[in-house]
Amino acid sequence: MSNKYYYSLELLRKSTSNDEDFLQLMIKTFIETNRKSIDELKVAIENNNFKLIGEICHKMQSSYKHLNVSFVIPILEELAQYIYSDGNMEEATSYFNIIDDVSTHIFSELNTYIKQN
Amino acid sequence: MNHILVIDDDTYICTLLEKYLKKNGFSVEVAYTAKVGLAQIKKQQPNLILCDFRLPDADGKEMLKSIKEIDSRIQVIFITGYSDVRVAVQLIKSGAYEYVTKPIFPEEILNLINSALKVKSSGDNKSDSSKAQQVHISEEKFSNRFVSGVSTKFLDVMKHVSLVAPTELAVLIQGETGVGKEYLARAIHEQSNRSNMPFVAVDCGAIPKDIANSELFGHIKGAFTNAIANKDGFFEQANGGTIFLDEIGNLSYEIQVKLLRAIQEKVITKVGDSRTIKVDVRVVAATNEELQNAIADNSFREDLYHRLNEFSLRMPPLRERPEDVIEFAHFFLKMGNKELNRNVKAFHPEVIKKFETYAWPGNLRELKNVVKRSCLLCSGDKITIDLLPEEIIKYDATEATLDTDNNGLKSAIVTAEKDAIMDALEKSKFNKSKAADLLNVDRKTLYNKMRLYNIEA
Repeated sequence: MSNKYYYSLELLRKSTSNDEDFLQLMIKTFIETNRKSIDELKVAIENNNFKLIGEICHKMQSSYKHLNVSFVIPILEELAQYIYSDGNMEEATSYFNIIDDVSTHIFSELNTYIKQN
Repeated sequence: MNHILVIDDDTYICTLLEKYLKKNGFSVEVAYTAKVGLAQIKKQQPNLILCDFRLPDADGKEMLKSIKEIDSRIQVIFITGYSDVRVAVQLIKSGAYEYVTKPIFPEEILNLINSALKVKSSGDNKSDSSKAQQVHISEEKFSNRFVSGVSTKFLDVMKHVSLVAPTELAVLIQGETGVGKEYLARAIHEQSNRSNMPFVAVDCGAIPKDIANSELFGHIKGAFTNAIANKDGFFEQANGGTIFLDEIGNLSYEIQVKLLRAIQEKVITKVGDSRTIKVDVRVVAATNEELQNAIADNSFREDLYHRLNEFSLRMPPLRERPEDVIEFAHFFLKMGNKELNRNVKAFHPEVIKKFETYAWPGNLRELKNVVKRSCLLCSGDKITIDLLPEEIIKYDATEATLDTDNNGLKSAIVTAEKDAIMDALEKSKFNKSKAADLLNVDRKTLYNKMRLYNIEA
C-alpha cells in the first residue's frame, strides 16, 4: 500500500545543487505558498467557484510535482480540469480534505527537517 | 552580465529560478503578473524572459506580442503545463525561442538560456536586422541538420518532392506546426537546379509587422528614421536560389501585394526607392492553417494563394507515421547526448511503444524536447518510461480514439460545444470578441474552450 504522506526532496536537492541554504529556502517557500493556496482553495469551494478551484490547483501542481507528493498530484490534476468545465462540489470537498490532511502532515515533517538542519 | 526577467504568478517557481540563475551568474528580476512584467521590461530591457504561459492577466500569445512590440530582440522562453504544448510550439513560430514543460528542471532551463543568448548575440552582431531566429541561409550541409523519415506516408511525400523539385513551380506546403515543413522546402531546393545558390528560410510569423517590408525587400539609406545604410532584403539575399516563407498566412495585406509582384513580375522595390530590382527567386511557402478560411475573411489574397499553390504538398502529422517517430527519436537522442555530454544508448521497449502510440500534438518539436529532457534526466544508459512526462505515460491511444467515436452523453456535450463555437466563429468572421458575445461567455472562456478542443482560428 502506498504511503499517503510520501514526498521526496531528491529533485529539489538536485535543483538547488545540494546547497543546504537554498534547499531550506525552497522548503520554506513550498510551505508558505501552499498553505496560502490551501486557504484560498477552501474559500473557492465554499463559494462554489469551479474556475478558481481549477486555477489554484493548476498552480499548486508545480511545487507538489517537484517534491513528488505522489498521493496529491493526481488529485490536483483532476481538480485543475475545473478551469475548463464545472465539476462536482462534493468531489471537490472530498479532495480538498485529502489535500489538506496530506499537506499538513508534510508541512510538519518539513518544518522538523528545517529545525534539525 | 546578462539580465533575465522571470514572469510567473507562482512564488515557488520564481524563487527557485531567481536563486538558481543568480548562482549561475545572471542578474534576475521577478514579476508576478503580466502588467508588472511589461512595465519592468520597459524600465530595464532584459536579454531574456522566462514567462509562464498562463498568467492571471494575460496568456502566452498576448504576452509574446506585447514583449516583441517593446523589443523584438528579447528572447522569450515559455514555461507551460503539458496541456499547452501544441500552442507553445505555435508560439515558437511566432518568435518565442523555446518552451519548457513543468515540472521545471533548472539545469534544462540553464542550457536553454545559454543557447538562446548565443543566438541573440549572433543576431545583435549583424549589421542588418536579420536575426538568426527569423532567417537562416543554408551553409551547413542539409544532411547534418535534418534526418529523413522512413514511413510509407513520408516516402510518398518525398516522391512528390522529387517530381516538383526540378521544375520552377511555386510550392505550398501544408501541415501542423512542428511537422517538418522546412525539411520539405530544403529537400525541394537541394533537388532543384538552384541547389548551388542560396536557400533563405524566413519565419513570417516572427517578423514584427512594422519592419516586415524592409526585412523582405530591403530599404535605402534614409528611407525611415533608423535606415542609416542601404540594406538588401531576404529576396535579394535569395537571388538565384530559393526563398522559404514559413507561416505565410501571417503576412500583412500590403506585403502580400509586393510578394505577388515579386512572383509574377520577378521584380521588387526597396522601401524608400522607386527603382525596381530584378530578382530570380523560387518561392516555397508553408502554412499550418487553412488559407481558404483566411481568403474567405479577406485577410489573404486569393490571387496570391493561387500563385503560391502551383503545386501543393501536405506533410502528415507524426501520429500518422509512427515508424518515423522512432527514427527521429534516435536522431534526437544522438543530438541530446552531444549537447548535454551524455552517453544514453537506447530507449526501453516500453518507451518505444509509448512513442508509437502517443498523439504528438507538437510533432517533431515536442518529440525533440521530450527526448532531450529524458536524456538530461537519465542516469543510466537507457531511457525508461519513468523519465517521460506524465501526460505521455498516462496517454491512452484507445481512449483517445473512443472519445471521438463515443456516442455517450459526454461526447454529445463536447460535440455540441464544438459546433456552437465553430458556428459563432464563422458568424463573426473569426472575430473572437464577437464570437464570445454570441456565445454569451467572456473571451478567456472562449480561448480556453478553443484550446481544449484544438480549434485554431
